[in-house]
Amino acid sequence: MREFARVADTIRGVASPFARRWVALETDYKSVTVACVLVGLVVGFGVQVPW
Amino acid sequence: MSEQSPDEPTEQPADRGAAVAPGVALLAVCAVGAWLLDPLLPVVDVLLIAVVVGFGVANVFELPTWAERGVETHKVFLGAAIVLMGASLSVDRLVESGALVVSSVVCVSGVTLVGVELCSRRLFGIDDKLASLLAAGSSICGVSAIVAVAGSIRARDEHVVYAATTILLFDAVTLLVYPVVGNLLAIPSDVFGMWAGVSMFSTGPVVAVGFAHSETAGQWATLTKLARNTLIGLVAVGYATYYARRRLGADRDGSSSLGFRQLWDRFPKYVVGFAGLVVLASSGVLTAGHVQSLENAYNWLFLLAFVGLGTEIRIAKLRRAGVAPVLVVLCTFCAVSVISLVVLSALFG
Repeated sequence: MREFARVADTIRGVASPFARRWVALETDYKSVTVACVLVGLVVGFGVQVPW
Repeated sequence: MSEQSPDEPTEQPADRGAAVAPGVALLAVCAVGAWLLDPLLPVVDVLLIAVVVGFGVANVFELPTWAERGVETHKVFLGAAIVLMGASLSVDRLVESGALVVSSVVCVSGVTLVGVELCSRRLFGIDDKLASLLAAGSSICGVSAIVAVAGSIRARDEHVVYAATTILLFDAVTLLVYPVVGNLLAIPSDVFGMWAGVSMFSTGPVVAVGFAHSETAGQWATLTKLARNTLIGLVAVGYATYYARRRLGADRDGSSSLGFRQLWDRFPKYVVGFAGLVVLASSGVLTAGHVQSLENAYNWLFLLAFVGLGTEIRIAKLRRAGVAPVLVVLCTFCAVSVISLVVLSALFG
């Protein structure tokens, strides 16, 4: 349990600055970021999106 | 696309995530619901079903308070979907249609802007700043343009509400009327897309109506509307300069602080992402499988965005629009819509 809490703390420590930046981002930049992540997943990692 | 308010209280990212997640989940459930309903309603496009589902949730069941923050994120999904649409277009096609699109957009936006300004001030005696907000909203990109111009001319809050409500009213009406007119008159896809792109108001409804007509019409509508949206910075800075000069006198430097930064602040940044993806797609990096996946991704994002768009159409709010602003926009809109349809049909029909 203590190990789990330590891992969670580490993840929170790493993710927190990114999350803070994300929250402060303008809507348009968020849109572009979401699109870039999706392009990265599809082109870089070969993820297939079904419809 | 709206901006983050500087007055918002500071909030921990984790709290914000928890506040946003239920609303995003509601959007996702409604989007999947619309997608499942699509085969049962073959006459109606899935994007319009999504708008109706969102409208129903907000007006029939009343949007729950816990979902409000998350539902607002639909603007992020709309922008992301528009960026991804760039994967389906090529530079060749943009260059081929660029001059045509830009000239149509500049002509129609200019005529609408001047028409609403003249009609408001001369015929209806509407306050100058409200007239400018209505002109910006109807000629460029709906509520985003109103907010951008309101900031640059220091408009009063009630004028912003009047103008935004009027534009939202027209968004709701055109969302229903344009697809019917398109089908009744059997307007070709490219003409319909450009017509929606130059004459309708907000980006969301333009894209929804375009894709409701056909895939090609959706692409033309988006392309045309994006070109129109890029004018927002110029119009906002133009208005700011005009009102600053009027306030301070023509020879004072009221406009000295208006420069590239102000233009960029008001520029819809997702247009840059869209252009980047067009270049990427044209470079041959993307395979047919990639393009298909990205098309599916933007279809899902559009579904999320249009459910959210539907929730923004509130009957109670629309009732608050004053009669004079509605009449001004109605007169100009009807004239511009009919003239642009006739001209576009004559040129490309």
